[in-house]
Amino acid sequence: MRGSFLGGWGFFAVALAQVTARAQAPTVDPTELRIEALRIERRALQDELRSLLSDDSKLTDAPAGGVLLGLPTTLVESVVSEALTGPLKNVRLSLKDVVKVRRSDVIRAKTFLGLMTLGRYALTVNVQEVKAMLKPRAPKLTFGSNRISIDLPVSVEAGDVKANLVFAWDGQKIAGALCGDLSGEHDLRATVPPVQIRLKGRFDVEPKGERLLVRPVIAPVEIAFKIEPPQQTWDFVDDLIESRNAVCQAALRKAAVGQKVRDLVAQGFKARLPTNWLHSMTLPVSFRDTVAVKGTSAGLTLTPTGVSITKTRIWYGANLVVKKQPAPARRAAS
Amino acid sequence: MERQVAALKDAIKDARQGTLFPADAVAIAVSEETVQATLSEALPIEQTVADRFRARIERVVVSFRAMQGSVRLEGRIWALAEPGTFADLVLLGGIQDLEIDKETGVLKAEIVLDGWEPIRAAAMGAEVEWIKDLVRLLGARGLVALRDLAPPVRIPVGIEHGIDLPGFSGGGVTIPSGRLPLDARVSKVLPLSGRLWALINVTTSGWQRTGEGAGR
Repeated sequence: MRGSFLGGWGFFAVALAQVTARAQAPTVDPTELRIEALRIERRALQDELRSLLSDDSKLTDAPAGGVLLGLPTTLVESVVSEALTGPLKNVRLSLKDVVKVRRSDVIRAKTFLGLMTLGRYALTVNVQEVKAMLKPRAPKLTFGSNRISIDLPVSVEAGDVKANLVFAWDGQKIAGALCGDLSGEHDLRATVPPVQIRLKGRFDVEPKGERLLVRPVIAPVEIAFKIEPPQQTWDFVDDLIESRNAVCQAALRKAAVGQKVRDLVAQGFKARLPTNWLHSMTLPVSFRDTVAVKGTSAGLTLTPTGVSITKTRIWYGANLVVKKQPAPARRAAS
Repeated sequence: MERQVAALKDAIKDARQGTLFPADAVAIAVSEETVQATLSEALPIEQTVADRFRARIERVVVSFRAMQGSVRLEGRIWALAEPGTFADLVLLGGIQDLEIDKETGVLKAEIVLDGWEPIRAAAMGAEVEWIKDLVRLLGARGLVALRDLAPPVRIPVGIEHGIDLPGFSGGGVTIPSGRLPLDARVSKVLPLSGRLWALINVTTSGWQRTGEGAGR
């Protein structure tokens, strides 16, 4: 095809004949009237289209700039949700040396001699290890005010606790005389009923060069675990009490020491869930700081013009100017 | 202008159906000035055409109005043997085939020439009006020969193929590293209000584990 293009000076003669023929042919160009009619119709259609455009396409609330990136909140929600819930699916939580809960009290009881101090007990629950599974639910993200607020429900399930119970009884007066001091330790393995927690915070959207960064800021979360100890835990207390003589047993049972131990264990304990596992992430649409020109890469100077978060989009605007290169070669490959 | 009117009618139909500017698509808007400046960096383009001629494109003007993305390339073609035989041309075309480069993720498109207009023409140094008519007559054959003079369009915006999420290990939590793969496709191109809009559908098949948790 190229070989037939402008085939030489003879071409001009042929073409001249064609020009003459063309001059005799009826015109196929639209008439001025037709052009004017089209111009009027175009203007009317443009006005109609303008009236139908959404705020997004009118760039309402978008920053200025030669190039604008508009990420729909639905996409950001989907990406952030996946980034949050994906890695968390069935993640094992394994907390060590979680907490030490200590409770002590003076036990008093009405006796035939009146209200008497029977003794003082101290119970320490040393939670050595908590294992559980994190199961995130669907997060709720709210867009606006240049940030994304997040509310992520997480179910902490299939948990078990390894703890050590230390019970000490310091008998006083009659109880002291009857029971003496009493102490014992018991290793506790207990299941933890599912706990529902909420990770609350926000994602700050920040420009970082050519990219948009989403940085999580999550408030620390405390998980309130309840313990469901097996029966042998209470047997431990009962056995301890039953190891004493009958009078001592009666005194300790009157003081409801066993119930007090149960009450303390039933209070459960709190453990702090780390939130620093949440990483910043970059959104998947970005400016580029180079552009391919004539087979090489030309650098671009990027000047961000702003970020705005509306209910429907995150906008990032910038002006991009090609950096001045050394004078290019005037000849391109043919 | 007829094409503009037809395109506007289609756009109005889409706008009424709510499909002109899909709310769930990534919207990338590039101004005429930015595209023009980027294209201008590729100029001048000078090439030998059909062995006997040489063509040089010096200037580009783009317009994104009323649903028409038009490109106007200005330059000259002359006979190698007789530089006094030349035509100053305006090549007219449009931006087509906007897509995401599979490797780089950059938005790219082609300028497709669909017409030309001689501004000046001369044979052996003498400017004569009929030579302009003559050049017009070259029509489609000439366009094919000159198509390589249109620089490629590169929009300095990239779409990632995925988001990498590093793992974490510490404080009793072990989270494996993973990747959120993304598939992006240009669904619509709208030359409107002085900007070239690319609307892109981005979907994900969900988070994929790529490794074990890693310390920070």
